[in-house]
Amino acid sequence: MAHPSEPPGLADVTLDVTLIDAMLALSPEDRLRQNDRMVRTIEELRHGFAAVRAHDAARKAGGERD
Amino acid sequence: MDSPPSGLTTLLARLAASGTDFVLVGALAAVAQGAPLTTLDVDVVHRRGADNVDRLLDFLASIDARYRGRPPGQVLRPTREALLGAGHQLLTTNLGPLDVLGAVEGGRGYDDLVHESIAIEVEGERVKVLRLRMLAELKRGASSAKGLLALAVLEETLRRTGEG
Repeated sequence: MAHPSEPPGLADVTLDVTLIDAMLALSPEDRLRQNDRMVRTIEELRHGFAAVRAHDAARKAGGERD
Repeated sequence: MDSPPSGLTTLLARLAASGTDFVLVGALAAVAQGAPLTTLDVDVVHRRGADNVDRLLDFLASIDARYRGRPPGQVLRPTREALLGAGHQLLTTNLGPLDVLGAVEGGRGYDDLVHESIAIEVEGERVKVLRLRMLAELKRGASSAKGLLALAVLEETLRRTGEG
């Protein structure tokens, strides 16, 4: 059952494709490039978390309260 | 990881273009053959002949290769002697992390693995990649959660490709 806020029909869509099927449909070079994209995403998340930690530490050092 | 984010695909292609004989192993070899894994580095087993090691050393110098995990300011570069041996050189480069392995599980070196490899094309360069079946065999001795998870993915990928 779709939630009222969801676009009509979206909840009824199922994909009969596994990650392995999706990977096997690519060329070897495209599979490597897919890994590159994942690495970039991981790096962006790491930088984002590091920035949040630095911000929190600076706020605590400055005596700021939540 | 202290390397800047970079395309491992390009690192692999540049290594192949250098004329160095090597076999791609590890998770990136599995990815190239369809395993849905993600890896942050390139693992290769190189031929340990003196001529090949010299080519590899030149290439490593060109991409500013140095050992990972060193304290800031302490740069340690791979040496010819190290690359002639069976040890593992865990490097960071200006194209991304690169693990240069003299041998893998069971003491298998380039000459043992090259006959179990397939060739793929990457950025116009021919790259030898260790077969999925052999990658799974090497992983069968794994005891870590990460290794066991990777093994499960490799075995399912083998089943899907009809090689399992």
